[in-house]
Amino acid sequence: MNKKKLNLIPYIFIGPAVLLLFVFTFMPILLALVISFTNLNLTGLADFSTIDFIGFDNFVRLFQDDVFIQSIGNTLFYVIIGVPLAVGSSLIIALLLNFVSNWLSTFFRVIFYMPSVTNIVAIAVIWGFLYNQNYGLFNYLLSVINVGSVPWLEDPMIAKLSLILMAVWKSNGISMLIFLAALRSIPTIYYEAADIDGANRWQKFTKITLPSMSFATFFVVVTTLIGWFQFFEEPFVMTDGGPLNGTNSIALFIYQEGFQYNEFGYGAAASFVLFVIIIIATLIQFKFRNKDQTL
Amino acid sequence: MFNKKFRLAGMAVFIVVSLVLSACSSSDSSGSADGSSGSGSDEPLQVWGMGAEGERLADFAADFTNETDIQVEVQSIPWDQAKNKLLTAVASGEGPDVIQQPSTWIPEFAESETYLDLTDYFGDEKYPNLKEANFNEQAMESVKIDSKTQAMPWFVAISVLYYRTDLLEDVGYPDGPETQEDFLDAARKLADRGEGQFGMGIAQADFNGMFDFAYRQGWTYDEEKGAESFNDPGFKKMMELYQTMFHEGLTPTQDQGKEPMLALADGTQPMFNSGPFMVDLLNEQVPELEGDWDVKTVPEAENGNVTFGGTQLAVFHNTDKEDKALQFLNFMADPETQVKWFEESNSLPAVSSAWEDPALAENEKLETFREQMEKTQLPPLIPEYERLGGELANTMEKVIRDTQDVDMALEEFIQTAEGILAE
Amino acid sequence: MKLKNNFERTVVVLLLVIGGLLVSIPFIWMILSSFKREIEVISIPPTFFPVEPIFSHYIRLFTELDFGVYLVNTLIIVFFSMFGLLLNTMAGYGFGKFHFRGKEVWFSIVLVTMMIPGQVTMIPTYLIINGMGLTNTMPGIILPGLIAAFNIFLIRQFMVTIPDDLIEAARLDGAGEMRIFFRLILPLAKPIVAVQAILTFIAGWNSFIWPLIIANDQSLYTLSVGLSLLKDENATSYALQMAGSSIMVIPILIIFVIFQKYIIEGFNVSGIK
Repeated sequence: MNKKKLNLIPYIFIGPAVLLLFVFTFMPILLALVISFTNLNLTGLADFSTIDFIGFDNFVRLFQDDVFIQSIGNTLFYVIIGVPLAVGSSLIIALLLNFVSNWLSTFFRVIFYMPSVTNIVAIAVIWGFLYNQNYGLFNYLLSVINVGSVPWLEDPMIAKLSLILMAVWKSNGISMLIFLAALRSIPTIYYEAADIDGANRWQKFTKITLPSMSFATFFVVVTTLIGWFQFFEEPFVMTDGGPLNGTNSIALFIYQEGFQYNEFGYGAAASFVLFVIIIIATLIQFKFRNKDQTL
Repeated sequence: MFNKKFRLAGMAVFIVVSLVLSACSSSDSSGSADGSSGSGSDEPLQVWGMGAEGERLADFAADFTNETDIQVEVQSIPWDQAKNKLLTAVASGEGPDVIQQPSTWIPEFAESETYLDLTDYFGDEKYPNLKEANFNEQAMESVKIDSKTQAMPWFVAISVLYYRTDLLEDVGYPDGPETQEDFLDAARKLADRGEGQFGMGIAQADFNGMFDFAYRQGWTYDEEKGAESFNDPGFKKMMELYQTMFHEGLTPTQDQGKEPMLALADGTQPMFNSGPFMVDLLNEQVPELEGDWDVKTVPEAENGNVTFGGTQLAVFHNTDKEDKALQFLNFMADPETQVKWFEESNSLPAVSSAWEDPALAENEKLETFREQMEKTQLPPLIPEYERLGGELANTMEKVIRDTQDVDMALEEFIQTAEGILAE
Repeated sequence: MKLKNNFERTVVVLLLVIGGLLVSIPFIWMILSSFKREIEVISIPPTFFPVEPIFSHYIRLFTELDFGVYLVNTLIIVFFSMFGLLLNTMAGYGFGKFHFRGKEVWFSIVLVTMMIPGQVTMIPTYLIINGMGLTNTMPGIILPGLIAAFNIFLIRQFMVTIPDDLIEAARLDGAGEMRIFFRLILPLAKPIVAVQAILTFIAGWNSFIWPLIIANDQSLYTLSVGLSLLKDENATSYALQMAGSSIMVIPILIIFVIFQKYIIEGFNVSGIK
């Protein structure tokens, strides 16, 4: 008797949110999927009757487009280097914050959150100065110790690394908060018990801290990965994809095609290629997730 | 097999959704049209302006309301999202009545019939200021696409050479360089001043600037010839000129330089091209530089032409307030309004007679702009302009960074251009 | 884990101070630059303190903007986004603590919505809102941003760690499901709800794209949209933007300071496991 009633309850909890998300986010995605098989451009937008279904033409074209191929390579580079750095640094900051007394922790929590709420223009101006090849601070410091100037944003490979550094710097805030919440939820009796067993600090970290916060780590890794696959803002404000498309990302490519050139069908197709890449990466994580992370 | 099914299902979803949506939106718009029955409605005229211009436009709309009793609602839209906003209006068919449009957008949106054809209203007795003869000839030409008048020219944008009089005097050009040879000579001498010193500032990725330099080499875009136009020797000369300027270090690449205004002030880049707004900006931001800078018509190569750009006012295609919208345009085209707009925003009037007003005629700095107005060239009025420009910027980056020589880059660019224009 | 001695403590604090300086300088520079002349903001090398502090940017902000109207709209959006926070939390709890048919499918749909860049779905979303006749209305502005998959996923991850026994015990005591959620679950989830409250506030406070796209009337604009109107096509107005951002960031910092203390209160329930 009770069973039937219980069955409705989860839907009451998830219903409103899922319904809204379905209508305002998922349905548009389905529409975009359909668009990716069409030649939709500005004319098509004005008059739907001129839209033609062109099958997989957009996708075929994408994989013949050197700029797109290059942007996939760049994006993978960003993800492979950037994600471990971003997750690692926010974890380290959270651990350090967890060590110090409460008022100090409060103070530094605000400080370390600041990049997340700093205007992107301010960030771009400051980092633009740091990276400026002739007048920048980094090259000035290098010249003091007699190292030649580094083309921070002028060489495709170095520029990618420069943007990663900037993005890691900027991205720590939210992950740090989540790690901190998870750290604080580990009961101190665990550590007390370990002390009695004579465990050293590293053992405590690997045997207690990390496993206890795996639910948070899993979340941070999955969302950070998704975020870095959609890497956009840094190349957008700093390099506009250059030099020689060396910092162009898939998300920036989509913006350029879909928005600047009004090739909506083509841009949508690119976004579904990105989507497939993200899905694969996410599924891999769900496969290797901790046992208690059941879906 | 699977693909086919998938496509069919997708198509079905799309057709159903778009039918539902278009049914909803069309019933909406026809509903409002019925209710308001044309110009008799009391709803205010909706005008979209952009950024700071939009905010300024609101004051002018108030004057218009005083004069005509027509209520106007100006909505200003931030520049970086203006295109998104217009796209949603195009997609839903529900836009404002009057829209501010940068001239480069017009060919593109004209193709998708975003604007009401104004051809028959120009010359209509009801709107005395809307006469083709009243406007600058090239401005009028720039709004005619597919032999329809897509918009009303509002104001004009051209650039001139800004330069440091003191520093140019040091290298022997106290009045600025007259010709391209003088210009390069001056730039070389200025760049020789030492590390971190350059001759001029050029926005490396700005394709408008590239076309601008190409016009001066005698190049023009010929719509009949299409991509073949780029085979003209003038275009190649522009590419070589860019190569020279960047390779010899006369101008810094993007991440080696500074903001042009700042670089003019500290002397690291003593020359650059910019529009009339820069006059006020320099006076406001670096008053201490007063007397050490001046403007001049651009150095001549084959000719002294610069790009003729500007901003127009268009009427959205399915407005139900045509008459009110045109009255508003008529008001904005009034020479008096044009002069006032110049005073407020430093934008050059598109209406010729406004230039005779003392406010403009007696303005000394404007003399240079008046002279430069005689030497202008319209950009290609084709929907693919931005796309071609983007590709040109990519091509030029390869030349500037030396990963491709000019001949190869040009050949590749012509191929790409053919592809774009064929679509 | 505790630190053993003063030396370790000093090292940790030193590391925090160095890191703190590195991350906060642009923020401080942003605030200071709002008192500089435009030319000083873009100067290279940048100045840190204003040469001659000026207040004209702030005066311009308050005189040229319809501040009151934009503030009210922003607050309305923030208010409703807090309602969205409740819905997100409920959904996260539903996904985390119940077993039901179609759970995997629905949760996958939630995750999928994070994987497509927003610019691709903007026009379709607009068409749907337009089809519902919600353009130029407050609901049209609020609804598309109300639910965030990121938040549902986050809450779900934390809910999973709450022991089932605890909920079962409450059920045996005769507590209704809603009562369990509001009286037992929400207090337990305080730290993560606090994180979410901060994120939700910031998103609502900075909302930009939907107010702009959906509104056909400036009286529905938010503060972010209003600020971006001050940008000219040609002129750089960095200092003005810095002033705007500095004002916008004050409420965020206040909210942050208020809510962050719940984060450290801990998620003590795991001890019962």
